[in-house]
Amino acid sequence: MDEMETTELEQLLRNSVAGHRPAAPDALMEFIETVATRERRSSPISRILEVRTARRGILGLAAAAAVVVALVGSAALMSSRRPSVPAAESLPTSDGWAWQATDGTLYTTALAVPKGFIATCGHNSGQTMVDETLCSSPDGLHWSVPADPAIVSVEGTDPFLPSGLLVRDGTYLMVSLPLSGEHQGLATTLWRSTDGVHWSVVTRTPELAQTEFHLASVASDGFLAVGTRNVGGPPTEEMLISADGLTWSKVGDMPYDVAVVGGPGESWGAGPSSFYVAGPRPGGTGIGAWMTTDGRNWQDVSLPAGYTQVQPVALPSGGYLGVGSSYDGALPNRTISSTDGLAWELDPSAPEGSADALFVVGDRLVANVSAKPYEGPYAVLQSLDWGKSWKPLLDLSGQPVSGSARPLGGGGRLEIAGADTIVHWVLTPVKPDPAASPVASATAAVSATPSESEAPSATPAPTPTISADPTPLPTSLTGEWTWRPTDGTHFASAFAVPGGFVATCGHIAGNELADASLCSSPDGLNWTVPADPALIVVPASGQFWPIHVTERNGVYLAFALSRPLPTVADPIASLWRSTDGRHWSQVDSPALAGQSLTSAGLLAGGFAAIAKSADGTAAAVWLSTDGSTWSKAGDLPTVPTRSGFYSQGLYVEGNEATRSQVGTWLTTDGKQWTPVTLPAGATNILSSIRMPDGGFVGLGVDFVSGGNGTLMHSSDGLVWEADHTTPAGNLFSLSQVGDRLVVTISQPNNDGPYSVWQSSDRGQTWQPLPGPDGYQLTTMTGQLGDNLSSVTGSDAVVVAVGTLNSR
Amino acid sequence: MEGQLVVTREESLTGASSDYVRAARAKVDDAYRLAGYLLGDATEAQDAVQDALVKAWRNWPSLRQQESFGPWFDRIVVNVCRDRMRRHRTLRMVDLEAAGQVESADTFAAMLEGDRVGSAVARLRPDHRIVIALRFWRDMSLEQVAETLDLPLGTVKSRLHYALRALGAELEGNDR
Repeated sequence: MDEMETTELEQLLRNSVAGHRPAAPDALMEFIETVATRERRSSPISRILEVRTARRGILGLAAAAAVVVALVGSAALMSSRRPSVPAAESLPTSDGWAWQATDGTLYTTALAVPKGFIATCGHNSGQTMVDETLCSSPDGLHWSVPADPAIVSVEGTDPFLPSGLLVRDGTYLMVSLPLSGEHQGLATTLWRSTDGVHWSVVTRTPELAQTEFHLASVASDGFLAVGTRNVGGPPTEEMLISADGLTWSKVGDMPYDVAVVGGPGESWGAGPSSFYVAGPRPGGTGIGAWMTTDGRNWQDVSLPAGYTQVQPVALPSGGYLGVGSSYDGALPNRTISSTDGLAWELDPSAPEGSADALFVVGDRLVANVSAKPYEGPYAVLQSLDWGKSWKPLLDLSGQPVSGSARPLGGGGRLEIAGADTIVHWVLTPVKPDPAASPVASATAAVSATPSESEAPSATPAPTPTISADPTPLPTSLTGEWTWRPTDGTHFASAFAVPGGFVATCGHIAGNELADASLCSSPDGLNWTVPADPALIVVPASGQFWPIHVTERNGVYLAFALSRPLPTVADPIASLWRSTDGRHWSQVDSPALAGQSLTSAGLLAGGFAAIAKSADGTAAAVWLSTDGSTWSKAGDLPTVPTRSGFYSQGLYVEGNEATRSQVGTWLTTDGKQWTPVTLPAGATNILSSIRMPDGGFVGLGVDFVSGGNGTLMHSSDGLVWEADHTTPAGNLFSLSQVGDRLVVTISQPNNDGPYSVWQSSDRGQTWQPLPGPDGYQLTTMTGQLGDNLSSVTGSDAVVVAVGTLNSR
Repeated sequence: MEGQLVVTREESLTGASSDYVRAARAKVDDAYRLAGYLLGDATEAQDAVQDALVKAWRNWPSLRQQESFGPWFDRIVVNVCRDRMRRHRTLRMVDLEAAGQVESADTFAAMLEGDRVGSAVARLRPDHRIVIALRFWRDMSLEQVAETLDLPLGTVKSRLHYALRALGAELEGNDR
């Protein structure tokens, strides 16, 4: 092709686009607003897909479905059933599970209903659950408080707090069991529904008002329940049966002596169609255990010596496993096994410790094991061969999970709660990666994720594909972390004041921080909203939202905004001063009037601030020794796109976009500037930490390639070299906590999942940082002091704060 | 710690939402057209830009030179579109536009299918389409193309040369 042809071709190309320069649709403009309301580290794709699905409309969905059906068949059925639910494959996975973080809502006993899930939601107030409210979820992952009436609709005003659920021939029965909060002490009530959505109370009839119902199991001729009456006279218990849930009749007596007062209490455990009880034998001959399938006839249950009760699980592979326990707790709870559900023995494959809970989740068994019966911390174990072998369930960073595990709804999902009983993670079994191992490949076809409402099928158990044991923590890091979960409050810009800490708290609502308030804590662990006036007195102007706070010689200087972050409106930056850290007043400096403040920090033995001229074409450093009186130190070598105050001085960075000097400079006095040399793969310094033995460790970010970070070191803060010691992935953040460095590693371009690592040797070696019990440590942010950090969940809400006590 | 708090990435996000919205609004028309030229379908273009907007927002903290949003966002759009073009090789068997349901209203489809040059470009391999679209349909300089694609200038020149040669061959074949 010669030059003439090329020129003609180029002209043809330019002509071909003429008349085809449409503007972006309004929906895209709206989408910009939508996406900016999402927290950056949330699982935004799933939520944003919902927005997109709505825009495409039915026609688009039909076309998309057609493509999917043509290619992957049954996957489209899942999509059409619950189009807004993210596929498990879109969630981060580890150890055969897909992980979904929750929003920190406290909820209890989630039950599967036809349209989704229902539970009791509330808030944690000390050890008590308050604000108990019926809540719902279409997928077990995203919860609505109060409940969505499309999922559950309750008639009348009786509290409807789900506890147990039975289904038979299209009739649903549910027992409401108030456990705590304002409803504590109220009697249980029995509810009925014919569609699983609309519920009405049953036990308000005169015949049933004096009876408390405890659902047992489903027999061939009706629902079975234990009816208890304790209204004057000796208590009575009897087995009741009902074909429709409305009319109940006695079907038999309990096998144990209900009149024994002060003896060991009875216990109940339900299999799929069987009901187990234990209690004092009639005549005071010890403790017995029995099982029934019809409420009329009881069979003796034989348990291992010393064990008096069993919570059974019917295995899809045949036979039974159960948690055996003794009424007085003299023996640790153990996994016991049986071929017929009647004769039980200690299971030779039982995990060590006290097995306090055992249940089926999808294609596997999950157990909660503790050192002492019912005393945390709990380890979560899983078995892919129906109890023949057990391994710790590993979290997203490869660490064993610790927390209270429960099946969510019908058992297709697992929820993990922390010591505060707040559920922080919902897990869904995922298919083994066919490429992971030959064993996994051979079993993938039969281990598809089951529906959460399905009972375990008789599908053969997959061969175990547990990954390797996690790397043990090193003995050189002897500090112990103490974690305290927060309640899901958005929590940012924390800083230390005399006697405690202050931060900005609130809840994300659209583009703004709703209910924004300064909050405070005496120890960084326990927070009060609004802030305790003993720690900080909030100025009446309402313009004091501190971003950075520094202190020198007893004077505090805050760089603050006029609105809390995040905000759509342009906040005005200002400086505030305090001599006690508690009372603050805005700095009114004539020297800084009319300029635009961009940052402030410590420099040259005093305070420093960077201000741009009103027209944005120049910038300068201003110094002050008292925070009140400011004088210009000198101009910056560039109009900075970023600046950072660190212990070695002030970095400023400029680029072509500002039509200014390109590069990075360091100053220690605000007057003299020295160019900084960064290694390949780093165009900006994001953080810099002075090490105890001299030198610096920093986080360099490569803006050009999209923001991937690199660990680097320098002896003088001027010439930096890259370190390649951090674990594989993108270095997302670097901070110092106590005697160690802590980094967050993400996938390239700052995508999750995240993992957090610590190092005590200047970053030469790294070990996983164990997270607080019950949920995944994802991002270490917001350093609150020398030994205190906050942990941000994948939804960008701080889920815990932790302290490190180094020895 | 010398009495100061470490400046974290989150803490540096002054006005992040508003800055992002402002920057994205200024560039979304260009991004939409670029995606449309590359994908030849308005709905696909809209989806691609949505994907790019999400990626840009998620990585907004890494963009501390906000004035450079344009080239940075263009690169994201190109990468998203490249992925979509590659996927289309296998997925475009039951697509809407193939059935002609949206063709008349789709300016990009009209451009690529109603014009012999456009349709020839649509048959080029993705990397050739991208360099042509940036250079001639987005009117970028070679240096801007290099910046957007994060490629050396020489690579861009040679790629463009081969792209034009391939386009010429397509046109000749079409004209035969």
